Amino acid sequence: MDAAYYLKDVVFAYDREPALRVESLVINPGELLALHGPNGSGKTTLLHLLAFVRTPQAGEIHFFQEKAEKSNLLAMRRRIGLLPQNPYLFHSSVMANVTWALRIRGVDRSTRRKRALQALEWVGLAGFEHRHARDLSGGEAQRVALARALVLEPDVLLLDEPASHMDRSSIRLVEEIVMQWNRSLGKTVVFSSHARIQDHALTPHRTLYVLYGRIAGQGSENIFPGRIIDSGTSFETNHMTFKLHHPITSGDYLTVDPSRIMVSTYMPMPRDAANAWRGRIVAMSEAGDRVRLEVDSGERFNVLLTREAYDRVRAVLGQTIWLRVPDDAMKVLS
Amino acid sequence: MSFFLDSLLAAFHLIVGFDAEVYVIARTSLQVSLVGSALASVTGVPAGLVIALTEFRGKRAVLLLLNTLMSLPTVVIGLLFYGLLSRQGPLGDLGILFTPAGVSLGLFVLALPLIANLSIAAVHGLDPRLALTCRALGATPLQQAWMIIKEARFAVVCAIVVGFGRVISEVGIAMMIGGNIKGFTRTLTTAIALETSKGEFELGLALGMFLLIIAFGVNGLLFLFQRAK
Repeated sequence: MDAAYYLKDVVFAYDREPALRVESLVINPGELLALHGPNGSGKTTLLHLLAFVRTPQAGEIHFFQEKAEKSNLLAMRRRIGLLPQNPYLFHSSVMANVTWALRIRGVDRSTRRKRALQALEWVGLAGFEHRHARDLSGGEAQRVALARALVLEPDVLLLDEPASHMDRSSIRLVEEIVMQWNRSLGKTVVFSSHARIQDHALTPHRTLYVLYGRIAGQGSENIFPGRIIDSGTSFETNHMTFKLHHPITSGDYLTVDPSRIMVSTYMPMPRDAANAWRGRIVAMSEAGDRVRLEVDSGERFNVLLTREAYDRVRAVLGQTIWLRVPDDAMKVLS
Repeated sequence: MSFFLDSLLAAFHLIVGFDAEVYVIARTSLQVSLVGSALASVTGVPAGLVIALTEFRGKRAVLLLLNTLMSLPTVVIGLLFYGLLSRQGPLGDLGILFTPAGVSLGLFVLALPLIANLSIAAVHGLDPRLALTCRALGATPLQQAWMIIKEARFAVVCAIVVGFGRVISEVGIAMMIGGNIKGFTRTLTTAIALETSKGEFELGLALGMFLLIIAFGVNGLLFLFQRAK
């Protein structure tokens, strides 16, 4: 299989409690993938599995067509750059931090220094090489950790909540680096965020929602907490009620795939069509080759439109439109 | 009070006057203590690291044993090794009973659980993100262990210093395995006990002051190391 990663029936548990289960996941080479989900949902665990710093209790992980085994884990780790959410810096200078991984790979001193200075320049920390790690601010420490990952020129870059400890300007800088890394160099990038994806300048090719230790679905940016009512035929959120095609017995969240939501300027027919609401466009942005709308219909929906669909609707900010959520765009999770 | 001050003055003169007996005793003491604690360090620190970083069957039992051995009375170790190293003992052929080598061996056994235990504590006291960072950066287990020692260097040096302090200040092992032979296995602590019982309080005090100077010197080095950190 031509994939950067292929995960099959992977189970990871802390102690005996499973923290993450992935039945099947493919990450393509050169893909910019976002992992979205609340804190504690399993995003960090998934990134650690992808970085091969944790080993699953069950299942298989293939990395560029090679099955991960004890014998090749080190070689695989050395092709990956991981930026942890709250990175640890060694008690030494910035330069020593950035060059250490090169040193243990046997890279000579002058090359190490040259590459480290280049990496520090990428992250906007030129001139910081002699500073001690303990004298850095949270944002600077995060950028040093990013430089430490970038200096290895890895095939895959994994970023765990890259914006969590940074100021606004640092976030922009890091997002630009990541986009450049992905677009210009064609490197695979996976990043996690508990914030809404549209709050980032990063425009992922794909977004996966991780919830309760499972990948809840692709593109599931619309996550609504709620409960099952009407003998399992409806799901009630704080502000609306979704009709379910197949009755179900339990569920705490309903997800709606943003690329499957249908948009129209006219009321859908029949008038009492299920799961159709009127809403106002409150935000618009570009998302790669698509257009993202944020529509307030009681709940706020993220809608991903193709350019053709966008041209057809001629959506403008503040406009009132109709949304229709097809049965197969909804998924109830428990 | 005058007796004490006079003795203190006499002890001071013995030290600054480079009294041969005092310096031979101090040299023997330093020699056996340095060898014992160095051996315990080169084995105890890696052992502590391995125990702290790996999971294995019986780990709790090993930790319990190390904790128990930390409070082992020195005379018990002395007694045990006296039995092992005596002519009739299983290690009698080594011929190291009543020699500095025998004392160093006993001191090694005394310091080993202490240094290993404190090294385990040093590693446990490290940020848990360190090991993950090393792994993520592609370190081999050996490179990771080296970085962990580097990051825990202050606590590890502290463990070694505590181990050294324990062995240089003990009296039971040096007395039982060394035999307190003048000019050969007589150490600062055994000499203090002997000279004081003989009524040579000035000499005992001089040796005691020497012990304090050594402790001060070692702690001074530790302080400098800490500042450099």
